[in-house]
Amino acid sequence: MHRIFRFAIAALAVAGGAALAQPVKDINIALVLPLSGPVMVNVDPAVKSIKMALEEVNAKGIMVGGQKYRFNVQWFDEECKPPVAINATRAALSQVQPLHMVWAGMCSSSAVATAAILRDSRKVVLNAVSGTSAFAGPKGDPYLFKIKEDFQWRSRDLARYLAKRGLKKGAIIAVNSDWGHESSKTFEKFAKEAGIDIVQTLSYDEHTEEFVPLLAQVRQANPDFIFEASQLLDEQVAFLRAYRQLGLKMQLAGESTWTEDVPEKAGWQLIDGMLTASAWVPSSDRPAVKAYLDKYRKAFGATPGFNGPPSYDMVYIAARAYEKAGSLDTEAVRKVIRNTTFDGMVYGSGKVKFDDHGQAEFPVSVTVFDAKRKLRVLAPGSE
Amino acid sequence: MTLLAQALVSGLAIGAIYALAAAGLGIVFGLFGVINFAHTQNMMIGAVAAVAAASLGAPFAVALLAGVLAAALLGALTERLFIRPLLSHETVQIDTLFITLGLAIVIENAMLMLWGSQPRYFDAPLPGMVQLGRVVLTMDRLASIVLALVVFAVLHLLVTRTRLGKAVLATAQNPEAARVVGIPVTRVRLIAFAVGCGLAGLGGVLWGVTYSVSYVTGSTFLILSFVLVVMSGPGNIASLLVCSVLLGLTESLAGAFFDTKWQRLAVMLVFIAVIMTRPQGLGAGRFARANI
Repeated sequence: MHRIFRFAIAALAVAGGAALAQPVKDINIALVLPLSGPVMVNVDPAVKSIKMALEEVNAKGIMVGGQKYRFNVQWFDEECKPPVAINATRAALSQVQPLHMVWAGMCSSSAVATAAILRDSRKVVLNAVSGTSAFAGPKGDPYLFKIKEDFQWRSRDLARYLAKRGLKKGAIIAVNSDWGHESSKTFEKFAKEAGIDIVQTLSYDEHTEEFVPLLAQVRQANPDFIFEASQLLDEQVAFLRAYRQLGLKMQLAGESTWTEDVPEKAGWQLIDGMLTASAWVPSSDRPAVKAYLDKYRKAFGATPGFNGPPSYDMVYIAARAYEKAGSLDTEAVRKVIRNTTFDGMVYGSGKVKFDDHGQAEFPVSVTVFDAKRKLRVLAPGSE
Repeated sequence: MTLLAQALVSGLAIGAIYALAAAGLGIVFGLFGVINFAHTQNMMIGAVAAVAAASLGAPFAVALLAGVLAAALLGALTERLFIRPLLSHETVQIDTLFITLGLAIVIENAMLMLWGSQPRYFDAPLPGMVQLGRVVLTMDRLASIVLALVVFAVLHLLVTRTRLGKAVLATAQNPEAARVVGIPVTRVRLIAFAVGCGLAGLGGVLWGVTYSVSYVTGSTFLILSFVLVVMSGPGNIASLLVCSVLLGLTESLAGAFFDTKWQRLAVMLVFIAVIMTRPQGLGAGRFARANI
């Protein structure tokens, strides 16, 4: 009996040791986003946030059906150029084997260009960067999940707020890109619905830094407000400087891309009073937001731009989806993502729930930059 | 009227920076026939060095000098390591074109990795503005105009009135003959290259003071610099200044009266019109007396 007992202990020890020594397996992810080229500045916070989240998730491990996994991410550079994005996506789909999931952080133009390739691959795709809604919706990819609010919600809420403030005449200045055109048209549509007259719509090429002639033109039209849709930090700072240099007084309102990293570069006095509408509320008291911001600022000495928070959440959504699915099977994971409300997230209200077309539903808040170094909420979004 | 005046003033300032950016390319391409695609990276390196020096507490004049020197050093290294070994090749133009194109990509991406993608800013070294009614001209833009005029005047005098200038011209026209009469051709070429790149560095610093400094500061100017060199006529510094101002004004007027997205189109239309009517460039005739 004693020998049997000793044998049993030894067997248990061997089994336990084997379990402890069980190697951590990989969940292979192909990540396609701009890693070089002029738009890198825009995606830099996303890259940093993804790396930060990966470090955290992989340190803890992802338990799938009793087996410990880690994300093995292979990065593909799409340079924010649709032809490069197509090649990068094809390379990602063929080179990463077995490929479990695609994370896309592409520019809107690239996202549209690669939509068909990704749809045909029938792989789960998480996208936390692309603003356009052109590739989502009923005819979109049933495997695609977009962790960014829809253009329409932001424009609708901002236009209504401006109309409520009694501002009746607006000018739109937008970057000359797919994203800029979509933003401009969407805002114009909702502004008109809210009773606002858009007296001028102007655009400029990416990386434009001379805004004086354009704003001198706006001054002639004398609108009550300017809606500005730019994505790049250098454009935003140059726009603000030119606005102040010309001594303009009309209300400024901006796309969700206007986040705290802009005044950190331009100075808070320059941006004082500017309105924006976004699902990202960095002044939120939620612990997840505070923890994310503290960690990011400590690691990189700056505040993340608008692409950072949803990209950070993307890694956690993927990890939780695999854990909940208990399998690496694409269909099982897709089903979980579609049917789950992911709590404790950084972006939006902290809850991420996807609609039938893979679009995450986020409340949009209208916020104002004030010179006291804050992005203050004026009209909070509702669930 | 205010809009027109504002556009003209802004166009002058931007033209001044274009002139500095393209001057070095004018020297190198116009005089030596070398197509240096890495030229505008000297702008970026100059701006980066200056903003780095300023952030370390250096006075603006020192930061400016650091920027010019850094760009000149990069230019000298480019000439020594990548251009000089190719000069004896029969296909020197095409070889230098591809080598410098590769070099430009390497420099830009190295800077992206080392310095990051975020734009940086000078801490307003030239604050304030001149205001005439509703027309404004900030001090940094005014400084760009003044500096460009001074630099071009000095450059003109240097080339027309000094032994070095004559040596540069002689080297450009006939290197073998220049060598026979005792001109140190290799050294002259190196100096001309470094001076040209230093000027680009100066343009980069002025751009950085007015706007921003990032790893893409140089690449934005590449096409425009070549347009200016071809449009002004090879080796014609005075014409280059005139063409730079012309393109700066074209951009600014297009931005003020149409849309900024039409700026480049307007510039290219002016370029095509000039080349169609004067294939040898604007400087070949009317401004010929100003030729260096």
